[in-house]
Amino acid sequence: MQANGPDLRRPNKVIRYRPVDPQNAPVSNEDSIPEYMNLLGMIFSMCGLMMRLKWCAWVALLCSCACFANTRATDDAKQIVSSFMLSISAVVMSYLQNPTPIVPPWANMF
Amino acid sequence: MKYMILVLLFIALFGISKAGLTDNEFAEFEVADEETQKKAIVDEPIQEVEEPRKLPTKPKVIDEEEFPEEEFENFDRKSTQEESSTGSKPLEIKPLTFADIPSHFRSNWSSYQVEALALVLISIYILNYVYGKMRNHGIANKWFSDNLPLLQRNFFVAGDDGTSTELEGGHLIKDTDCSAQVWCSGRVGCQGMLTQIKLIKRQDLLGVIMQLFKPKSDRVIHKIDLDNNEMDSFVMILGQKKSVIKAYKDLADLNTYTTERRNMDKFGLPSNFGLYAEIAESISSLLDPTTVQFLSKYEKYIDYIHISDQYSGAKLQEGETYTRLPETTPTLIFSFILYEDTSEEINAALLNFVFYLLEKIRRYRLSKEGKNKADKKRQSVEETFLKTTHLQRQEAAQARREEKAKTEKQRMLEEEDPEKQRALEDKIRKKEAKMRQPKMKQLKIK
Repeated sequence: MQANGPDLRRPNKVIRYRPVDPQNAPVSNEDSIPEYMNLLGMIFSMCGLMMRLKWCAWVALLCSCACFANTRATDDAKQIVSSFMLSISAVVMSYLQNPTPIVPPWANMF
Repeated sequence: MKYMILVLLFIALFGISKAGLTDNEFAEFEVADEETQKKAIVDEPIQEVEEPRKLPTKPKVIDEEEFPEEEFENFDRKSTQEESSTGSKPLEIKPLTFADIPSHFRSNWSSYQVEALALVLISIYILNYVYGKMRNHGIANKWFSDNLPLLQRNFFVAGDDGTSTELEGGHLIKDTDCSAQVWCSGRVGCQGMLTQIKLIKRQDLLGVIMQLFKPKSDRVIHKIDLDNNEMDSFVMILGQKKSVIKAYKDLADLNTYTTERRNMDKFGLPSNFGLYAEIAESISSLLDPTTVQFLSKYEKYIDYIHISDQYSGAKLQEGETYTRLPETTPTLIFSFILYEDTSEEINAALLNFVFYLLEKIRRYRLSKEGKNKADKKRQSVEETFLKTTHLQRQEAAQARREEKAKTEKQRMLEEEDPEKQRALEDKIRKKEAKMRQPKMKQLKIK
């Protein structure tokens, strides 16, 4: 099985690398995590901004991080940056309007 | 004389100003409609003021025995009633309370527990991302550096990036933080080989947690595109049962041409292997003793080996149909499992096996019977495809004709000029009459 035979390389048969077209590339179910995370991030950001729920804003920030970590090569960087900006603005606006800390659920236990 | 006039003027001005003051003093007692009430009101407070002044003098003059206290009690009641009648209520003093202002952040660190927890989670995520990305890149770079010499011996260009003006290899294309690609080209018999290194999502904390529940392994997938007529007509897949069954469900060519083969012992394959093949003779021809020995020895490194002359990618989803016959290419796909402790020798052995099998398939030819069977199968697949698409094409043509007739009728109705409208109507009627007539071929009689 070792390649000790004749040289099978052909310089005249070289075909250059062509990256896969993002529109034609099939997307499997496992690879759709960035889309879900992006959508969740936007939903939580809007909830945090409109309903002034601080925990929603923090969850949106976590979703943006997850979306960033799972980006594919074909994904647009603008979408991820805008998702980050939206979640950060949700956190900042929530605390500007009401600087009190979130009441932790374990506070009532003690 | 002049001095007298000035004095008189001064006195007059003084009098007017005083009158103005007196009017303002008693303005609260004034009633708008009746001027007389004004005078009475003006007089009353004077009287009221006078009365209390008078009263305290009385007890001094007269003896106390002659005027009992009851009279003064009535006076007391009267005075309180008068006070209440004028409308003066005592002010209700509310107790002082401090407004609820949140304490400053700097003095109140300890209450921001949930925020601190969220920040800790985000920082853990970022740290895991950096560490996972570095580790994945390290694994990919190590595999590439270990196997580059062997790739360079078999291909003219190993590791082409596709963009450089001069053909220089040695490029590992990093798609994402968990996958990389190597394109090799310039070999006899094939157009090129795309090697994909698909790693676990170590950079994503969620992926790391999912790995605990659904463990996956790092994979190296070699996809070789053969030249046309380099391999004979057969389709086959063998490998780990789970992977083989999954590939059979997902890929169109396996689904169309192959059937499951059992009795792995008969072929000498490990018991946890699965096999789907189109033509039985191809199995025994390819699974020679060398190959079987290799498969048994490196069983844990082999995911699946897919050999097909009709490879067209994944099967279409339910409800979708092909409009054209899909393009097929003769392809070999080798999927190997990459472990962290995989040595350089094992990597070399696996890659050498790829080239060995490639050369074997290039030389292998089916027998006459096998070839006929394969050709018949391909022909029947093509015919069924044309039949299904023929119906679709007919329906599409019918729809187009109806659409055209609709637009013409619409044009006719919208036409304002009556002559043009009549002409269009006649045209439509002629067309409809022609459609209704049975189609007959005209024969020339000589």
